[in-house]
Amino acid sequence: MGNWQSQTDEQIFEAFRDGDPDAYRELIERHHDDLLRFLTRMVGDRAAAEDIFQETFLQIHISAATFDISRRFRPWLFTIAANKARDMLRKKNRRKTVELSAPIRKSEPGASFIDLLGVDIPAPDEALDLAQRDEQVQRALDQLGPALREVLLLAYFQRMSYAQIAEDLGIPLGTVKSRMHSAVAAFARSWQVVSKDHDKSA
Amino acid sequence: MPIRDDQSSSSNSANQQDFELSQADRETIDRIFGSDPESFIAESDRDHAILNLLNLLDSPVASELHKPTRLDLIQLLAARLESAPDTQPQLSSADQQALDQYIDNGYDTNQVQPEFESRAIKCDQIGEAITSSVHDANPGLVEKTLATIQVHIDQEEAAMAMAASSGRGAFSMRWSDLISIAAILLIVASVTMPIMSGVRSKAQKSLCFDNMHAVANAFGLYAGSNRDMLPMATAGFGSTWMDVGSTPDRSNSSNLFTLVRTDNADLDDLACPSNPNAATGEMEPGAWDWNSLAEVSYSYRIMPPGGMRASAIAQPMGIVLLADRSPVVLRVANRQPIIPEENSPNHQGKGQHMLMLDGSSRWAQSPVFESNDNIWLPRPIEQVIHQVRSKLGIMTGSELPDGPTDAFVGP
Repeated sequence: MGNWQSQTDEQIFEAFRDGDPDAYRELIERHHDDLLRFLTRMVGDRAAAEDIFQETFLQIHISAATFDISRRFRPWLFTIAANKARDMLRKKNRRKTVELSAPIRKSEPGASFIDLLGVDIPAPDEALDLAQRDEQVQRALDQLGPALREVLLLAYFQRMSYAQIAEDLGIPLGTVKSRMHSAVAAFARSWQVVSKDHDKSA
Repeated sequence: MPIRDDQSSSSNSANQQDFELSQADRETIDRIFGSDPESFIAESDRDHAILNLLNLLDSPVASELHKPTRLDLIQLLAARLESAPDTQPQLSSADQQALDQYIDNGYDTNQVQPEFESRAIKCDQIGEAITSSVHDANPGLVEKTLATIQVHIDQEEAAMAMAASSGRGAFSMRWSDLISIAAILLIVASVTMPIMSGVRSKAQKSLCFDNMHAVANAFGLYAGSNRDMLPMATAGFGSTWMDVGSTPDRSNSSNLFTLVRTDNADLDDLACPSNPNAATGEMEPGAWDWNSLAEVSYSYRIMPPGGMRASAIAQPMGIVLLADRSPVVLRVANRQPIIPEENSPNHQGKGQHMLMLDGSSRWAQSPVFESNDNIWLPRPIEQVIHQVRSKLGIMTGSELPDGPTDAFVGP
C-alpha cells in the first residue's frame, strides 16, 4: 500500500491507472464525505445520493483512460456526480404530480431584493441543534430550482472560480455570474422563510 | 402602446387591438413557456417584469364582489399583489459586488475590499451552512462502491478473455461471416460464460421498469393515431439497420425514435438509467435518430419492410416489442465475438426487461424463451448455432491436435 497522505488526487489516480489496487479505494475514501454531502444536498435524499455516489465512481473507473492527467481530478469527479444527480432529478421531477389547487405562498414584504446584511445565518457552532439546522438548510435548498442549486453547490463545495464553473457547465461567464447571484439571493430568501417558519412553530 | 380611454364608443375587440406586445416581450414570453416555467431563471429586468405580470395571473380572484366600486378594485389589486407568488429575489448591488470579490479572491473574506467585508462574510456563512452536514459517514458505502466496480471488472475481464481466445480482430461485422465463425464462439462461450452476476441498483431497475410502462403507453398512442401501425421511420432500411445515426432515417433505432419525434414519448422514457451514454432531456430539433449506438438504451423489434400492424399477431403476449439493449448488436458493432445467451448490459448482465406486443412487461433472466427463440437473433442464425452445437458440443478435455500442423495448447 502506498503512502497516500502526501500525494495529490492526480498522483493517486495515476497510481490506480498503473495498476495499484489500493489507489482507487484511497480516492473513494478521500472524497467520500464531501461528495456524499454534495449529492445529498443536490438531490435532497440520502439513499438516492448513495446510489449516485456508487454510479459516479463506477463511471470514473470505466472512463479512467480518458482522463487527462494534467487536469484536476476533483472537478472531474464532481462534474460527473452533478450530471448523474441532474439526470436523476429530471427523472424524478418528470413523475412529480402538481396540485393545481395548492395555496399560493404569501410573499415577504419588499422581498424582490435581498440584502445579505439583513439575513441571519448562524455559524455551526452557534446553532443549538445541529441536526435541526441541517434539515433547515436542506429545506431551504430544496426550494431552489435545480439549475440554481447546482451552480450554488458546485461553487461552494469546490471553491471554483466563475471561469471554472463556466467551463464545467458549458455556459457563458456572464450567465454563471447572474445565476450565482440569483442562487445566493434565492437561498438567502428561502433560508429566511424556512427559519421564520421554524421560529413560529417553536 | 397607448391605452385609449374611450371604451364607451368602442367594442371590446376593437380595444384589444390596441394592446400589442413588443417583439422583445414576445420573445421573453416564448422563452419562459418554451422552457420549464418553474425553473426559468430571470436574468434581466424584462424577465423579472414579465414574470411578475404572469405571477399576477396566478393569484386568486375575489369572486364574491358583485358590484365592484373603485375602492373595491384598488383593494382587490392590492390583495392580488400581496398574495402573488414569490418572484425570484435578486441580490442588492452591494451584495453582488461582495460575492464577486469573494469568489474572485478564492473564497477568502480577508481579500475583499473593506467596505464589502461584512457582506462577504455572509456569503461565507452561506457556504459554511451548505457544505457542512451532521450526517454520519457511511463506511459501508466505500465497500459497496468497490464491490459494484469489481462486478464490472469481472465482466470486462470475461469479455476480454473471450475476445483474446477467439482471435481478436478476426471478425467482420456481417451476419453472414458471424455464422461461419459461430463454432469457435460457441465453444468459448460454453467454457467461460456466464459470469454475469452481482450487485445492481434496485432503483435503476425500477426506473427502467417504469420506462417500459411509459413506452407501452406511447406505442398505444402512436398506433391509435396511425391506423394501428407500429412506429416506423421509413418503409425500409439502408445497408444495415444497425447504422444508428449515420444513416438516420434507415436504422431500426430511428423506427423507435419515431415515438419521440411524434411527441408520443420523451427521450427520458427511452433512456435506461444504467446506460451512462443515454440521451436525455430535450430532443435535438429535427432529429430522426439517436446519434450513436451507445446512446440507444432499448432494442426494438426489427420492423419488416412496410411496417407491422399491432393487431396483426394472433398471440401478442408472446411477441417482444422492446427489450433492454441487445448485447449481441453491441458486440457486433464493436467487432467482438458474440455470446448468444448473454443478457443485456443494461442491468449488469442479470437479465432484461421486455415489453410485449400486448402491452405487458416482464423481467427475464435469459434472452432465450422456452421455445428456444433467442430475442437477440433471427431464426436462421439460431438454427445454425443449434446445428454447430449439436455437431461439436463443448470442449471435454479429450480433444487432441488435428495433426502436427494444428496449433492447439492446453492449461
